Amino acid sequence: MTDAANPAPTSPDEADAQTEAAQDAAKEAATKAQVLAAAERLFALNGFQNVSVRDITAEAGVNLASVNYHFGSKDALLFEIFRRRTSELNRERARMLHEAADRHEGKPPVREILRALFEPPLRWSSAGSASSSLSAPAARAPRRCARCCAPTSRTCAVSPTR
Amino acid sequence: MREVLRTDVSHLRRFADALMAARPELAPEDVYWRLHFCLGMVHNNRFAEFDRLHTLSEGATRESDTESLLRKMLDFAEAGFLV
Repeated sequence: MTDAANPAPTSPDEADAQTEAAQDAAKEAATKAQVLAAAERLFALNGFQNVSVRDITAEAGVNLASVNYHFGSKDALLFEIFRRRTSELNRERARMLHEAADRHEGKPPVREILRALFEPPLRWSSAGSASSSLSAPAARAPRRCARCCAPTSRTCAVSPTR
Repeated sequence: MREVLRTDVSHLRRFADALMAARPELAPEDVYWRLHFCLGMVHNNRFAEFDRLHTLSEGATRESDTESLLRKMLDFAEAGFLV
């Protein structure tokens, strides 16, 4: 604990308890991150409907109860992935728009604005494929839907009409 | 989640504002509609849709990468914001 507001522990017992608590917290955060990564990977490969909570915890190598403990439900886990991904995407869009504004005295031209809107999702969905080519079906890694992380060839789990 | 999709527009606000500043001669209502159509372009980029396009064009659209796709999208969308 480096928090200046907390006085240094006075007894060895107290120090042990604090270390233990910090270790527990770190372990929980690691479990949560493992679950998120595993779920995202499995949803992308197989689609949300085809992945069970058991699949996720097995893939992550964590306790079966971890999904419910950290997220509440499989649905809530999907929402968390979606939330994290979209905020990442929109941060990137905002950054590009900001830079375009800086380059044009605060008033970027239409094309630069649209580039900031289009480019991040385009780059994001083609990242991870063997090449950036859109024309080689055999070389395709599953691209992910920006809304639900399902392969883009499938119906979006979040917005099925899309 | 659908509720969030429907009501969380903060990330689009700055784009709408920037577009209105770039095209003050357009009515705000038109800018919102045109931005809406642009978002449709972003979502119409799945493999199933590319495959259908390739079928329609009898292969003429096959050669494309992220860079040239982006350029085509920008050419089209930019023209969509002409007065």
